[in-house]
Amino acid sequence: MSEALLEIKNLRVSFLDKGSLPSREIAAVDGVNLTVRQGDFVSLVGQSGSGKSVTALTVCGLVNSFKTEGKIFFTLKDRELDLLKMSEKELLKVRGKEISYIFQDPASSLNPVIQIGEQLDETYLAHFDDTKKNAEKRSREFLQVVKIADVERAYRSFPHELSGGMKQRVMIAMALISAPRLLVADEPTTALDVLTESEIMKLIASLRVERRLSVLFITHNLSLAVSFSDHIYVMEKGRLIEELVKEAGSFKAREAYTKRLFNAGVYDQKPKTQLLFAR
Amino acid sequence: MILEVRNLKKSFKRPFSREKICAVDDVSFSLKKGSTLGIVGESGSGKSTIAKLVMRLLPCDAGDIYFEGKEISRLKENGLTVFRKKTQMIFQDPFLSLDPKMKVRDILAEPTLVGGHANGISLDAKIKELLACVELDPRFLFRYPRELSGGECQRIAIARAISMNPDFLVCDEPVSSLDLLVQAQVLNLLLKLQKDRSISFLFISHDLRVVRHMSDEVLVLKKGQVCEMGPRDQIFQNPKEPYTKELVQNSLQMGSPRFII
Amino acid sequence: MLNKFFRKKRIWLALIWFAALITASLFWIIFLPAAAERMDFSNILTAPSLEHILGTDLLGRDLLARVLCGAGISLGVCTAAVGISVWVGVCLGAFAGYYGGWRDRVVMGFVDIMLCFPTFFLILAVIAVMGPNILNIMLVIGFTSWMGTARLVRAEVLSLKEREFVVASRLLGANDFWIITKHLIPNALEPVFVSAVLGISSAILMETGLSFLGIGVQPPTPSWGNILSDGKSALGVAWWLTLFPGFMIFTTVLAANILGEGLRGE
Repeated sequence: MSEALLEIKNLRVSFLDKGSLPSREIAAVDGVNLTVRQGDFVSLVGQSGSGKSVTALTVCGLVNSFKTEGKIFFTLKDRELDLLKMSEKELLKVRGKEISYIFQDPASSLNPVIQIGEQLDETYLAHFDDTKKNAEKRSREFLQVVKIADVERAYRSFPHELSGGMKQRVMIAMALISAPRLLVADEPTTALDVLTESEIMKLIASLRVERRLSVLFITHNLSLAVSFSDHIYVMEKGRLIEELVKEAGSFKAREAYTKRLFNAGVYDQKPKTQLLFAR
Repeated sequence: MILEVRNLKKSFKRPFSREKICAVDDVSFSLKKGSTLGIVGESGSGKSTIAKLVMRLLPCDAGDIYFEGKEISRLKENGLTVFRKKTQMIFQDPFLSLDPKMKVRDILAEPTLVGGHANGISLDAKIKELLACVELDPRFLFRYPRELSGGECQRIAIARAISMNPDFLVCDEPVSSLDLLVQAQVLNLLLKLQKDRSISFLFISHDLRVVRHMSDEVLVLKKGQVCEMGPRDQIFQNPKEPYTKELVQNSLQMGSPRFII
Repeated sequence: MLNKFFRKKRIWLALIWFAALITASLFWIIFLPAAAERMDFSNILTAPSLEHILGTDLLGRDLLARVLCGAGISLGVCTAAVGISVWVGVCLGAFAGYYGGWRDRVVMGFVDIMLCFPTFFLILAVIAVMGPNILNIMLVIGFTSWMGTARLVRAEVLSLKEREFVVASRLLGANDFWIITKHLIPNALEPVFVSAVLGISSAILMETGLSFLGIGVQPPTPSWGNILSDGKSALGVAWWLTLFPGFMIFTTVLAANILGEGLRGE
């Protein structure tokens, strides 16, 4: 059992519903405990409104919540840091460098008026004190790592010239160029079609092995999570419903909700019949 | 045959360049009455363009479209009134397909107000009936789209579409932006409506598993051209083309049976 | 949604100002109309006192009454003018945005031409020809300030007309008029509210300027502009004739701008 890299303890994130009078406090995440061990591929699965994205964004420190309670421990050089207690300045050393993020919509994460190569260089130079030339070399290396065929052309392209799948590969390159220990991926393949999704997932899985990366993967598709994870957490309405551990190559689900979620992704019933797990 | 499409072609000119991209290249297919034709392909394969061409939202460069035996690809907008009453479309993004400034009640009233069919029953009664068809509570009537979930919005869109009792429905990735559990509910609804009202569907998706569940026949599109077409079971169990094989394999792989329930 | 709007203190102050101003001026106009016109030659140019809270003017008329009636006139004229400009702007903007092509170019060309005219001088010229009465002022200010709205609406319509809900409506068989009036205009109105409220502030300044120059609201009908104009000649002697109407103009324009900015912040 390898040691814990990221430990979320009793996380509670609430927002103020200003639409109602008096304003109500709504807990988007209510008492979540999650652990990512070194080298693990952990998935956080839930439907819209389950709180999975808020959890991921809170790890980034990108949530403008009303109240955030609990602890998020990250192991850095044998020290355990509570990300929630760190100042913005301290967080800058962790965010983007030790913990990298990729989001669902690559188009909105990339600057549309700057060439891909330059964005990669900038990302590298933001975390490492190095020459521009070295940065350019490293950027090209990483474009190859994410299996982009024509590296030179991609380097010089603008985001709108690339397909969705290629943009997501660029995002992965940007995330990995800082040599992080943990990659947080928030629904990176949801906007892509199945073939591209399959390629991107395989890429992430292989990179995780090659670079000894730990992955926290957020998705609404349980069967997708099952195909790639070591550990799965299932969330509904802000609460953790079930924790699944892979034993002997398979997962055992106990909760009815989890079973429904899994069936929802498989579609192995007789075609053109009413899907039974829907209600 | 409710719909017959022959040799459909459509190209787009790239902005700021003289390049022409052929989105739809010599596509032909037909749809039997009361059945579902699923169109699958990657993004950029031209599936949405076919939907827009068939619905006459875009003019085609070449080819014929026959709806219920009548040629419609060359008719002007005022000749399409009958066609419009019998055909409807469901869009991918449920929120964007509803007017954000209109309440659900007004959205559902629109087809009747525009088409002018009262048919004896009052507008109110018709709206309540539509809501019941899509299994939604009457309390939804006074809500705005932004107060509804994706699945609820899609149901409203479906209710609006079936209001005029269409014979033909084009579904352009109707569940792709919905959560898995909600996808199932919406698909069940579509299946039920097809059974009750004998609607023919043109079902477009990039998700092969959904297409397999919903279709009787499947058309595989690759870069604007028909790669393979045939009955559902044949495509999924005995794919002939290598591209089709790759697609089918990938879709089966995702739901790998490493799960014990 | 509007809750955010009401959160800022200054917006409340602006709203209270308008409410008080409108109530007071309506009260004076309806119940005490003669007070603004009653001349009292034994009491000309008296400083503010208990009897005349804001003092009196050159003809012994009570300044408070004149200022409040003037408020009603000014606000009424300006609101009507803005109403006209919004109507014209929305219709032309929606038409141009929806149809595109040569129709769009004609309308936008017209907008460009109108924008080339120095508005103030155009209004001067028109009033000089048509005569300075309240209706003409309303019309002239209205028909020379619709261009911004037209551009805003056209921009909104251009982006809205390809949205799925518009396509859906077209598929239901809706004609152009239905789509424009039921879908495009209601959704394009948000920026128009902002521009309308801000338009009121510039209309007030315009009307005040015209009245000050003597070609706006004609005496004896009071308007902040013509009260200021009267005060100009007695500046050294009767500071209240300039201060109070000036204060009213300043505060009202400020309040309108605060409301406009507040709406924009939504």
